[in-house]
Amino acid sequence: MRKLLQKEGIGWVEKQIISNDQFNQLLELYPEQDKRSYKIIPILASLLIGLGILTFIASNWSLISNPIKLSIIIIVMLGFYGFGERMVGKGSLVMGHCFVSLGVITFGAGIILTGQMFHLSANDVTSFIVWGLAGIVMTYLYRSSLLFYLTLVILNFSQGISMITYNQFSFVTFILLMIGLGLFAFKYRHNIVVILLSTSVFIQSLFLFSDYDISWFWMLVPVYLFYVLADIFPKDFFFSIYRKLSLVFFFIFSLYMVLFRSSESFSAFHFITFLVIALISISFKWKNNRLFTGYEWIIIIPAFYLFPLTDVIYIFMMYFFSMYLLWHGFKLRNRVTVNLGSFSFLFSTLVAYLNLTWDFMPKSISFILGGGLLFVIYYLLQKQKNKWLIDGGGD
Amino acid sequence: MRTSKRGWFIIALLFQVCFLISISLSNYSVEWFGKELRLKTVPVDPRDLFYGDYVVLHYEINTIPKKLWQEDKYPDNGEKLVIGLMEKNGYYTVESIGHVKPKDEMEGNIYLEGVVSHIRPDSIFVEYGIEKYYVPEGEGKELEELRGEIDVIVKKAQWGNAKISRIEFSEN
Repeated sequence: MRKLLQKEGIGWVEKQIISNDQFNQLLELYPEQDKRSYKIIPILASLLIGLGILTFIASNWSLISNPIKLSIIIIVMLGFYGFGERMVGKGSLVMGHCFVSLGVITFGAGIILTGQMFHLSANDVTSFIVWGLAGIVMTYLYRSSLLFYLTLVILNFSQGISMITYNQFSFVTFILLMIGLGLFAFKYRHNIVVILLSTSVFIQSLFLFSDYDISWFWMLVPVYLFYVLADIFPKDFFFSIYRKLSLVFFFIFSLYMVLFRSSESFSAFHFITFLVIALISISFKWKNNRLFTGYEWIIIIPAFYLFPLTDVIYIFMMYFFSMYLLWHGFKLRNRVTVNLGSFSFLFSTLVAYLNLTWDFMPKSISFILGGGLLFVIYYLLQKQKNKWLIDGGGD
Repeated sequence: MRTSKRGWFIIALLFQVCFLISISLSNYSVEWFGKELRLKTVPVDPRDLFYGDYVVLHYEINTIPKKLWQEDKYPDNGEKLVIGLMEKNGYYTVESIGHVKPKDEMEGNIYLEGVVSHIRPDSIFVEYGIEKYYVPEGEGKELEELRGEIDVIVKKAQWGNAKISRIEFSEN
């Protein structure tokens, strides 16, 4: 905005639309935002120092006795925190938050190092949870998105380690993520913060279901629920992300079904759950006058136990969804959605072609034909798209 | 506003410092007041033994014969169990395995808490949290060559888990 104003404003002054003073006053309304790009430098610097601390721990410092090691860790940690707090007090927020982050990193490193001093091997992720808790407290105290990102990484790491190393879902980690960081994201509604938190919650809740000894398709239920949230709170940015993530999930799920066709035996209980959630969703869509998004449920239908020939069915579902995206983007005049629609259409074609012709055609011919077909469809779609976008101005 | 924030900041720092100190203190107290037991190590697949900054230790007491298991259903992976140990010829070996911790630890008889790692055809593999021994960089290889010939001296406190105290060369 400032750049535009600077460029145009000189012209306005010359044409005597505004005076030079007024021009300067206008400029002051839009302070330079270039500072933002410098923010990255202290962040990178603290990242490097953080890595330095970690490698320092990994390397040999066995000559020092344990109590002194512990004192060094505590002094370094308090030093980072204290320095960070002083910088924030002086008004240098970015640097201050960087140093507080270093304090949090040192705390985690300290836990690991203390464990090494006594040859401890953990049975669960308690140490990561305590680390994450310290991160959450600091995130709230400083209201800093940098500390938020750090804590998010710690908590996701905690869940990952819990799942991979200890084969169990860490409920405490999940609750800390949802409530601890969730409240922060809700309160400060910064786009990237919300998107990253939503994605983490989404993925971790999938883990939650994979942990139990039940059919894999029950994992889909939380995804249905995430989807429905957007219908119940249609204006909420938070939940609209969940809806998009759910749709991306089901598109990839369809792809998986096409590639690794697997039929399951019909589960009445699951199907009823599905129907109830779908009905709730559609009734809310109707209430909020968004019934045209109801077609999205087509791709969500659990076809893998309803119909035979699941791969063919899912190919059609992918096609249907792509066409829906094209139509939807076109209706809302949203170029991004139209592009996404044409991309997924092309993608579905490629998948359909490769998967359904694989058995009775040599690979090379199949690829050449597939490529040719893609060109034709792309050409037709582009032509149609341009026509739509020109005609679209009418209504 | 500013002062209350500072208060919380100091509480948060104290909590972190106390946490680090408490890990150390609890381990020192096991070292000071714990009962000493000598465990025999068994060779580990050499490729897996040395992990950069720590050595994987496997003990005879990790592998518990299924015939010692008294209950009907075998435990699940990750289940917590209580393992009774008895001293024989200077080394502690597994005497019993189950869910319930006996009330008193008799002389020469000691109980460790372990977690089921996996079930093998004829044995239950239990981990006690003493399977990692951190070494300075570069020293792991030397220790690796001594696999199966080292004893581990473990300290076990009455109130808590066991910890590695030191490593010694095998006496026989």
